[in-house]
Amino acid sequence: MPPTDSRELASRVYALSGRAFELAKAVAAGDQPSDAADEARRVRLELMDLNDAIDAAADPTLRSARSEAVVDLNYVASGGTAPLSLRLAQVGPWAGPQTGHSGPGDRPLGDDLED
Amino acid sequence: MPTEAPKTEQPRQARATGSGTPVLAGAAFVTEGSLVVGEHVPLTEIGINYLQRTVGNASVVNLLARHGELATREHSDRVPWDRPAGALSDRPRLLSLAAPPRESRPDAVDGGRAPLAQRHAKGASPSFDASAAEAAVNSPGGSAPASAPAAVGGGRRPARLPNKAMDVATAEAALNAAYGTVHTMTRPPIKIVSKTELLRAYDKYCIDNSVPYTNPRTGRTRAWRRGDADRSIEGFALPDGSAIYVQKNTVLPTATAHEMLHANTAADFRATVGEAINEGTTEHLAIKAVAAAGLPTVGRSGAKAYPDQVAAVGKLITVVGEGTLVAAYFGGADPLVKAYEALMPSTFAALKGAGTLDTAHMAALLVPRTPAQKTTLVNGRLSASTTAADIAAINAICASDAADVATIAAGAAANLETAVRTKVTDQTTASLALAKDLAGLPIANVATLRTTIGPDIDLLVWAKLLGSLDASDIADATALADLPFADRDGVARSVSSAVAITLASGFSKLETVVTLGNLPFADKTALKASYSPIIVTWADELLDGWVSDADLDQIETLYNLPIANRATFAASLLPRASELNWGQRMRLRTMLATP
Repeated sequence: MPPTDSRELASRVYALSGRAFELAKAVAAGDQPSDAADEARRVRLELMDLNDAIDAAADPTLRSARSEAVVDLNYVASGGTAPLSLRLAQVGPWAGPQTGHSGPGDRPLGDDLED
Repeated sequence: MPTEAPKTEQPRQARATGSGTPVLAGAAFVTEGSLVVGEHVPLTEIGINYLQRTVGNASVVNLLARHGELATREHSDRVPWDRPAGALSDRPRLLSLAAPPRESRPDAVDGGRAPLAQRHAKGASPSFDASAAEAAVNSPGGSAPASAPAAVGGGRRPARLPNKAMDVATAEAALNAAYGTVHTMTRPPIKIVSKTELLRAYDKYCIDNSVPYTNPRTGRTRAWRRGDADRSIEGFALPDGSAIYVQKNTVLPTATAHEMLHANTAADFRATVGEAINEGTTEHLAIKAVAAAGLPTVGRSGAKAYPDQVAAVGKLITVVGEGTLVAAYFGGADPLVKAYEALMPSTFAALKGAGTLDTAHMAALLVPRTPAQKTTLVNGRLSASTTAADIAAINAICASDAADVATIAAGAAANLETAVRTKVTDQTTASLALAKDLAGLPIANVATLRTTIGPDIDLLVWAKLLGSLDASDIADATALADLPFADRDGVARSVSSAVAITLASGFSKLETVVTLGNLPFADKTALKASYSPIIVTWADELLDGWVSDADLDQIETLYNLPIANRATFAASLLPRASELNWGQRMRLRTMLATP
């Protein structure tokens, strides 16, 4: 049942779009889960259920999120041969080496000031 | 399945909107493909939108054209759709309408009988002719071209006139104007194309590259065919990097700048900050650049890209400062991470979370520090053990808000002085480098440090100059004297004092005098004024009595001292040349003729 609340709709669309992106990134990285195609199809069907609501929504970013998701899901379904979403292009083959930050630096955090 | 509109001439009572508010008090007599308006149907915006939803655009257009009002009415999208009907003026306000391509026009599908929203049930997005729409809006008085056929997206939302995407050159110029001092934009191979061209390009790539098509409902795959590209696609990139396709008819004026920024961001930024902050930052920067260029940043319907993400990034800016964010966006995420962690109790990874937008989570972790809190944080990093990382953190704290720097400076001045003094006293190369960096902090007052620590430096330099004065001593003394808060006059006096002490040893330490006189921080003019008379006297005394060649060697050494005033030296000694034998006379005269 498509959500009627705009926040709920946005939340669902972003969640599905995010899931599509994760799947696409996994495929791009070569560690595609065995059930990626099924998962992509499930996400696609859920997105399709929201199509009308997305089209009717005032927030145009939902349509962008859907667009990115659809391209990502195509990419996953094709086994990494379809065009890339714009976001995947940035972290995938087009992008340079990635570095991550997962923790604090070499000094204590500024947590000594909490009221 | 599309739902057909009534084909009878039965009056239709007004329906309620989603909010339950009646939108039409009159009645519309509907015939197939056209409308006959009864006397109770006012041609208000509400009424027209209602008719669009119920009988289709083509019929509404026919009606409006028949009433000759099409070309002069205002865009309905300027009125919030969710406003209660009673709050709207009954002044007739029709639509500036543009025709979609024939193949996507509702009446090409079902004769315009079904509401547009129902036609989109299969996932197709409405398609507009943006150029016609633009022409309609931009024509004088906001009127539509008389020749433009009219149709709009009906359904449950008002018609929207999509904006034309900014061209790449304009976006590039705006971005370079805004951020050129930090990063020069490289132009990605962006192709701004129509929806039709975009989908055609997508299909072509898939067909040319044997990309399999998977039916999302059945899961079956087959070869890709033209028309398989999902109409909801608004942009994509070719895997070989040769092109980025972006839909021209976007409602977001910042779209081109946004995508160009993505192509110019540091490689680690997105992965480090997560999707929400990345998109929010990108759109924030796009909005700022586009606005600075005097161009619109908001779609005609008030549409904005990533509004929540932009708002979250606005909070992030209040915490770390915009300069830090911009530097990280283009140069690498590390300064942003370090700045956040210098200021806040949580890690940046915690702020990022899953990377997706979590407004409440981010708001809780993005409460900006007060100036007093920043002062405490800075003081916590100013000590005898202050490191380069501490200095970087202090810089980041200061960069979070320039308005707080004065407060922080006042509250941290004492600790800063102590930290600097400790580093200076330590005298190692690393410590002196840290002292220099400390003095370069925005909170440092170099003049004050010169007053308070300058005398210490003078003493340290003096002590170095009185040692063996090997290369190491000279390097240390030079490093001390080069500190930005060193007192140039003070260290010059230290050199002078060292020269005086050295000269007291007589001729045995003239090499040291040479070294001292040639120090880059020595004041040669002052040294000459103070000590040249002494060495001239020494030279003069060497000419007393019998003069050996060794005496002349000594005189030449004195003459060549950097602290010797050669003019007065020559003036004093030349008259005595006649006292020498011919050979010595010629040598002395030749020597003293050297300027």
